[in-house]
Formats: sequence, structure tokens, C-alpha cells
Amino acid sequence: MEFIISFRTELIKIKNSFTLWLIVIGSAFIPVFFLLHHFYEWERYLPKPDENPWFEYFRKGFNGVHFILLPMLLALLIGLLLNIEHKSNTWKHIFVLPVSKTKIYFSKYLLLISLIILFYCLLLLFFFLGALILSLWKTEFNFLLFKPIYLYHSVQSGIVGFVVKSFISILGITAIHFWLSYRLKNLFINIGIGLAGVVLSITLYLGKSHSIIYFPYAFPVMMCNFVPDSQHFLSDFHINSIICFVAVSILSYIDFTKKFKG
Amino acid sequence: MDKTNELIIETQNLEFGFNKKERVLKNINLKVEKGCIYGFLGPNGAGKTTTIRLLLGLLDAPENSVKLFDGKFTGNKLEVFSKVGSLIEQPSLYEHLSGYDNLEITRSIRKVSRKKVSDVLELVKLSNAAKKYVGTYSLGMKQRLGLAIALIADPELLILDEPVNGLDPNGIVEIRELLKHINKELGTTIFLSSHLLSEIEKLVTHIGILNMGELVFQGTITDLQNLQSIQSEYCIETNNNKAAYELLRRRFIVTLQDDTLIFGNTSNQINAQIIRELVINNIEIYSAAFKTKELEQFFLKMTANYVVN
Repeated sequence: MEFIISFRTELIKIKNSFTLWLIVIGSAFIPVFFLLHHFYEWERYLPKPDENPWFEYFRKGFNGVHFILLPMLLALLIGLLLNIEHKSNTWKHIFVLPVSKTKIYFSKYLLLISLIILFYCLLLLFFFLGALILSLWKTEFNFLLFKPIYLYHSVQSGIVGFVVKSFISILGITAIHFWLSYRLKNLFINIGIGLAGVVLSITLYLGKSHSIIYFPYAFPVMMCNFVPDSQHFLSDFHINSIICFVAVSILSYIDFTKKFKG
Repeated sequence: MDKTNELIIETQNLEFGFNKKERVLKNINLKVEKGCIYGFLGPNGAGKTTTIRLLLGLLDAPENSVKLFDGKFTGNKLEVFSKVGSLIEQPSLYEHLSGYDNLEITRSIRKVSRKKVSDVLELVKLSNAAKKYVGTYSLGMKQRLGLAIALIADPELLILDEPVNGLDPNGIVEIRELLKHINKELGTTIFLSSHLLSEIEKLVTHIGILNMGELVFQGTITDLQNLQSIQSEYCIETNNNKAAYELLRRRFIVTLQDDTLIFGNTSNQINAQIIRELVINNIEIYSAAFKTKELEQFFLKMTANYVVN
């Protein structure tokens, strides 16, 4: 019950803030851009007859999401979310309320995870809406004739399964930036670290470095042109992302409850 | 202080430093009785906010050096926090939310009825501004909202750090009357800090004066007034103040200010000696009298002298 109350207060705090707008704008950005591109170069995007148009639509669309948008959006989202307390100078206030630091920590974490899930839901919604608009504009796009499936290199994955994998790929960065964001008051340092991580991960990705599977910022980038593993649901970098998430979350929890004084 | 009264706040030899070399607080022994209004005075940088942060657990105090509610809830921080309302430095407010939402956050966590929100808004005279964003509030309104947040759960102890800081004279009077009312009607113990005695001398029943991290005075406001009269200055005007000053300065603590010889820490015997010396040396005395300082001046002298000593 107390946890629900604490979570509810976190929801109140994001009222009138840019956080929710960031989720809406961030999730709409690539689908809208992609839709406009389809309008301009529709001949290039038209599928062959009997070809499922969703394969290429999802692959190219999600490549845009994973390549730069997602890590930067996360750095900004988490920074903004925790900056509410820094900016309002309210850590000292919430730490003298009769609620444990554990509940404060997990209610903030749960809010963050909920917002990320909301982002994915809206992202899918905008992609589907884009496909629907294209189908109504030109029936040759054939979106309404086929099941929405992600497929690459002949290995297919349900779109929900693909999105779950995408979500897992960002868990490592989420944990790192959650820790950084309550420790660092300056939002721009957070974003700067995120940007540096993205640049480094793209360098590793383009250089086809083997060590890329150990670099959390590169995990979402590795979802670009992702070939699903036909044997296992998760790839190595997904497992590494989960390990990073658990390890960093445990450390940041200990730091938050034992040392962090606001 | 009367030792039989229950102590709501007690510190024992409280020491603190942000690093090993420099002690911000030295041997602080606060005793705050239940039901009193305790003014915690000191110049800026004396260590008031640090002390308050230690009391509230926002900084780690040495073990057993801080006791709240007579140690009844030792080891149960949340139980203590449920009985304490606080306002530390400037109010902690979410400026992108309305005054109502700011109160709602604390109300939910403190599990009090929704009616309390309108009650405290009424109490601090912010009912009309409840739906406005806090970012549009004046400093005085923010202070009052901060106070409303601290008061929402009818705390047994109210800890306020500079609650009248930055307020205009009307605002100071309003807050003063409000705190008096809370103390009288609800029996709330109030511990408030300030760097200006004049702001709170009409409000507090007890006073602690902190200077350079040391508690240089603690007692009732009457105790302070008594000390003030004891430490009054003895002022003499003569026909030749310069000669009188040269004559007396080696034997007495004396300063020459605006054609007046001012003697500190005197007694009747010392005063008689001074007069005798002047008469023997043919210096005419125009006037000789005790000068009682305003309490504020006394406070300033107490904190300023302490640095020299």
C-alpha cells in the first residue's frame, strides 16, 4: 500500500513537466519521419506483390529508432525525471518524510520503466497508424493483407517479441543513467555521457568490433538489422544487458539507501 | 532549564565536520523542552543548518549524540519522521506543480485526510492561490506553502530553518502569529533558526546561540535578558576624554567612542576605582552611567566577541 502511495506521488510530480511530452514526441519522431519519407519516395518503398511489407517497414523503421534516438532519448528522459528533485531542491524534503528510501528508490524506478513501456506502446501505435495511412493512400502497400511480423535474413520474430528484445537491450543503459541522474545534478553532464556512449558504440558497430557485446550503449545499436536467433530468444548482448542492469541496479540501490543524502 | 521536563530534542557533545581537519560543530548540547518555542540563533555560517540536518538525519551524526522525543523511537527513523514537520533552508517545492499538488504529495505520504489540505491552505492564507503554479508565487507565499507542508500532519515537533528569511515585515508578523497560534493551540514544539534575534525575540520562549560551531548561550529568553543587564556597559564622559583614556587603558578594559569612555565587564568596585582615579588626576566627570544595549546588539556582541576570544 505504501509503495502504491509513493508511486502515486511520483506520478503527480511529472504533471506539467516535459517528461510526458518527451515520451510522446520521442515515440512519434521516427514513425512520422518515416511516413513522410514514404510519401516522398513511395515508389522505392512499394513491396513486390505477395511480399509481406511489414518486414522492411519494421526493419528500417526500428533501425532509425535504435541507431541514435533510443540511447539519447533515454539519457534525456532519465535525466529529466530525476532532475525534478534536483531542480526543486526536494531530496531533503522527501528524505524526512515517513517513507523508506527503498520505497522512494523503487517507485522512481517503476515510474521510469512504466514510461519506457509507454514509449514502446506509443512507438508501435505510431508505426501501425503510419502503415494504416499508407494503405489508405495507396493500397499497393499491402499492409492490410499481411500479418505484422519482423523478419530479417529469413528468421522471423513476432513484433511483440522483437520489441521485448529491444526493451531488454536498453536495460543496461537505463540502470547506468538512473544511477548517474540522481548523483549528478547537472542534466547536461548526463546527456553528454549519453552522447559520448552513442558515438563510441557507433564507432564499435561500424568497426565491427567483437568487444561491442560488452558495451551497454552499443546494445540498442546492435538491434539495427537484428537477425533473430532461431535457437534462443535472447542473444549474448541481451544477456549482457540484463547482467549490467541487475549489477548496476544493486549498486545504485545500495548507494541510494546508504550514502545518498540529496 | 528545568530538567524534569520532557526533552523533545537533545544532543550530547555533538561534533561534526565535513572533513577530518575542520570541525563545523563543537560539543553541542542542545536541550529543547516539549511545548517550547526554541530560537536557534547564530550568524550566517555558524552551523545552524548543519545542526538541523544532523537532527533530521540528513547528515550522519556520531552515534548516540542526537536524541529526539527522549529517545523513544531510537532506531525507528520513520516513526520519528511521522511526528516531525520540517522546513530546511528555502522551501522544497515543485515549481511546475500547483500549491495544491505540492501539498497532495506530502499528504499522501503522511496519510492524512484530504480535508487537511484545505485546512492548512486556509491556515497559511493560500486558499485562493492553491491552483496556481508555485513558480508564480512570491517568496512569502512559498515560505507559507513550505510551512503548510510542514504542518499538514499536525506534527509534535516543527523544525524550521530560517522560516522568516526574506519576508517583508508584514510577512514576518504573520508567520510569527501563526507559529504562536500553533504552539498555543496544538502544543507543537517549535525549533526555529534565525540569524537575526530581532526577528524572533518576540516569538521564542527559549534561545540557543551558536557561534563558530559552539553553543555560546542556552536558556530562556529571560535568562538572556538577565545576562544582558549584567553585561551592560559603564559609560563615562569627562572634560578630557583622551587624557582619561590614556590614564585608564592600561588597568581597565576601556574603549573611547564618540567622546565617551566605555568600560566593559565592570563591577561596583571597579567602577568606584575608575571614578577615584579620574578625580585624583583632576579630570572632571560630566556623566557616568550604565548603558543597556538592545537585545539584538547584545546578541551581535556576543557572537562577534566570541570570535576574538
